[in-house]
Amino acid sequence: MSDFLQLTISGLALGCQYALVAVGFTVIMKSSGVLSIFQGGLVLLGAYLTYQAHQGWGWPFFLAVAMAVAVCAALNLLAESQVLSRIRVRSNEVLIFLTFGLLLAVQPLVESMWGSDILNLGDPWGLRSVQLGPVTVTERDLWTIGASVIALGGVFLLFNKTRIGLAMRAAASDPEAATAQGISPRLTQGVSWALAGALAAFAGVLMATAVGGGVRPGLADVAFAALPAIYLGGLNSPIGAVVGGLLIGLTQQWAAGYAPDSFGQGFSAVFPYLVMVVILLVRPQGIFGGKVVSRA
Amino acid sequence: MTMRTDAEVNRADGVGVALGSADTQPDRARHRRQLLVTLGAVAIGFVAAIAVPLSVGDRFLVTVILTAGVFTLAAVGLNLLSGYLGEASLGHAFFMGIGAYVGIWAGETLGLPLLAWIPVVLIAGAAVGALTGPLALRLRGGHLLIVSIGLVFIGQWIFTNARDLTGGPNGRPVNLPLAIGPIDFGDLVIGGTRYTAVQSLAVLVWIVCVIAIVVVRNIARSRTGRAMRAIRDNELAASASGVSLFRAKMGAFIVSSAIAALAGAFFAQQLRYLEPTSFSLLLSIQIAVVLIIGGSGSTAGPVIGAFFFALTPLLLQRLEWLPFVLSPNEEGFGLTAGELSNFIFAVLLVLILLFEPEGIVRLLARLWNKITAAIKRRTRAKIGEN
Repeated sequence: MSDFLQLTISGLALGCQYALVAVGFTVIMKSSGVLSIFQGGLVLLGAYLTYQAHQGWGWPFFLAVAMAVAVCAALNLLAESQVLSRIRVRSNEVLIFLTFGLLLAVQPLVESMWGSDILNLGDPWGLRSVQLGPVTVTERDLWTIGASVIALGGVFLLFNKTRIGLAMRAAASDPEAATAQGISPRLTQGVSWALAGALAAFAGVLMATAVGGGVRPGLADVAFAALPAIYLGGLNSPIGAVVGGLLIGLTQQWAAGYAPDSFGQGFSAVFPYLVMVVILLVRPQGIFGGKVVSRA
Repeated sequence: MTMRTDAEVNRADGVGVALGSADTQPDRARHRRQLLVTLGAVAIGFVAAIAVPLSVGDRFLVTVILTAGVFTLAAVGLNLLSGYLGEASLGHAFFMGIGAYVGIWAGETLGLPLLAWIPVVLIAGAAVGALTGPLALRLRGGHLLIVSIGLVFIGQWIFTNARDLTGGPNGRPVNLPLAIGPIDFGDLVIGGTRYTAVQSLAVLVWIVCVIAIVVVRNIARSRTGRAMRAIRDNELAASASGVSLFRAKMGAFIVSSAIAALAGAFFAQQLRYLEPTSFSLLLSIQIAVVLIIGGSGSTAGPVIGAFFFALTPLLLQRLEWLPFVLSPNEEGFGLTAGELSNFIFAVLLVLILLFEPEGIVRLLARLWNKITAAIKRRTRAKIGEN
């Protein structure tokens, strides 16, 4: 039983990281209708920029994170305004490949700058464990969960309690009517992309400081595991993305803990994709999604 | 994608057959000329496939030719699915892996000769394609792309754990039988001259490439191919016009995965030592980039893209004097030739998608039109002078 609770806590921590990336995906999807794979590149950059500022220049950790988050938000804004907006053929495939191209451009630059070894971001969250009843929980899992809750809570407050959030929701539900009310689509799209960039960078930092983490080129692949989360939750639903991310994180950790050896090496890593294939076949619109996926 | 009229589609494919007038005299002559041109091109293709690898002595250039051949083959398969049917997929690494390991099973474990294991690989690829095809049938608009990414990760898990065949994470050596009777494509001897293993394999791969290009081109210009293009341009309209979505999509998916499987077997033979990580998402991305940069939906696109892909790292290695380019042993700030070429592919992918979605082929065609137009103008001016 305590095993189960332990796996659940670490699964929640992992799920929070997926949820951050996944919410970024859906925010962009809602505002621009693009599934931006570049999120993976921003996860990568977020972690490396934090490493550079914290370990390289000796900045305090939280300042380094803030810088990385700000830079990634700005980069995603640039990606939208300088690259994505110039596209003429607006098919989903072309848009996805375009964002793939941006990711592929970032990877070699990161590797040339910082090498391909695993770098240590230090232990900003501490290494202690806390005894919660029968369960031993690492402090960094608690920090990861706490920080994610704050970040995600901030996003939902932004959506639901501010003027710009209202504008973003209006623009997403009916762009023309929103424009007629004086809402600038450029502004709402820009805010969405910047927000998604910031979330990805923050998730990158959390992934790099997680157990068995470290700053590494493979972080971009970890972001691919957030794709099943958004399909599980529904492409257009930020709430769904959070639930999907948590579910994927939880089930992945449970799979890591309980799957028999006969399922083979790397089963827990492939588990989200197995879930995704099943979801797309059974319920392509996800748990919370509306009917947006068209079938042949 | 915008709708194109039939005439435009035909022109784009270089067919140039007038609609609804199949039997007039000039058309028949044009048909015959077209047939001769096609047969001539195929003959030249076969001769080049044999002669070019054998006449190039440079070890690196031969490797480029072989790599380009393997990637051409894979991209030709992807072209049917992405270029003509319009369904982008990143699942090719998975099908190539299937082909590689089935090839190893048939060729090494069962000891089948070349002409026997190739059909086995093709059938295995087609079968796996038919099994995963329903994914393509159910999903549209980029979702297949995402599922196919998942497929690659699932494939890696399968390959890592099928230890008996794949050697697990540590991999295994590959030594496929490559002989047809006295002709051994692992060790070609023609008229007393012995060629290297890479040269011999390159000849085999390019012969297969020419066949695959002809097959895919014929499919693309058949009734099924027209159905595919109709689906690409407007699925609803195609369906309403009586095009069977199921047949066209399944067909494209099956043929495309079969060709990918064969490319995978040759890819394995080229590597000589195969690890499950050889079939990672990176391989899928590389093939997609080859097709997009070269020009998807065209016959020459995959070939041009593949040569560009294989040549760029080699050319960059010779450009060590450029700023920020590191030689293999150099340390410090900068990009190695491999990193720089990956960066160039990525930037080129973005630029091509933004400004010329039909790829380098289209750029070359435009250049050619400009040149011929200029020549025509000049000859006309000369005639005027006289």
